[in-house]
Amino acid sequence: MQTTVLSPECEHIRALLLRSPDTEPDASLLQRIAEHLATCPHCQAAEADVTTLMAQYRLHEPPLPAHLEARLLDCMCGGQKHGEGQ
Amino acid sequence: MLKPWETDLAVYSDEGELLTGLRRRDRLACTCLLKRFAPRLYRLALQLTGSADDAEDVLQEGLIQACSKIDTFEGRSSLGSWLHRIVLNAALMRLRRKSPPVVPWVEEPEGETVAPPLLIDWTGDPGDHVLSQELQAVLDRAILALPETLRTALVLRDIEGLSTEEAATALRISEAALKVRLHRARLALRATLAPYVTGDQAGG
Repeated sequence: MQTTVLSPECEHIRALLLRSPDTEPDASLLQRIAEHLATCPHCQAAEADVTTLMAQYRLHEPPLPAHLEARLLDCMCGGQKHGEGQ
Repeated sequence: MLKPWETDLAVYSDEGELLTGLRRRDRLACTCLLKRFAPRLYRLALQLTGSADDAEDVLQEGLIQACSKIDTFEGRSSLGSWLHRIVLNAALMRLRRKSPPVVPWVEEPEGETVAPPLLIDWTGDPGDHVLSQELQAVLDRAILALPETLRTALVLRDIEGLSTEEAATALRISEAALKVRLHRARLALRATLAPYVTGDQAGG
């Protein structure tokens, strides 16, 4: 396994991003982070890894729970039985 | 064993005929629509809301809405895209009603931030691991564990394939904010997934 040496700016930005994930940066910090992400090859490479994985993940569709299918069918058809409405 | 009507789903393989059947409220047409589109719509609702109960309600609400509007559907987009938009909007509406206010960011003094974990290079092609059911399950859990603001950005952009502009508009935030949320989500996922993708699992 290899590790990448990051620039001080990159390390600082990453530390900020990983801190308190339910908070929202203010406008000036957003701008600083966005400018870094647009130019930093390490951050772009890290994003590309996840993006590649997610492109494969999106092909995976969990089956609809059986009880939900029955519930939805009743809502959509208003209680019609098979063959009605034709 | 298949129920008798399940063998007839091919009757509605043509979208025009499916629409005609849906407008008649034909149960077989509704079944066909569910088989074809509902799993993807359910995943969308589940990952956006982060709750199975909310996802079921959102999907039901969306499909009832679609049925009520099916007579006015003009076919300018595919049926699947139209349903996707309806369920997406229903999920976002629900999130807006339930979302707590965003916590303001408080800048820490320089030097007091916690050092980030090392950036570990993933070996090989991450996509090679996608067939692993274990990795899919880890991803499912990791996505649902993200804070709502990060999860919605990731789902819209990386899973649903919306553009940055479309995702930012849907979430009513700036494109810069969307990009930062997305990067934070990807970093968090990367940290969670690293042991699985690098093969360096604890105890394994």
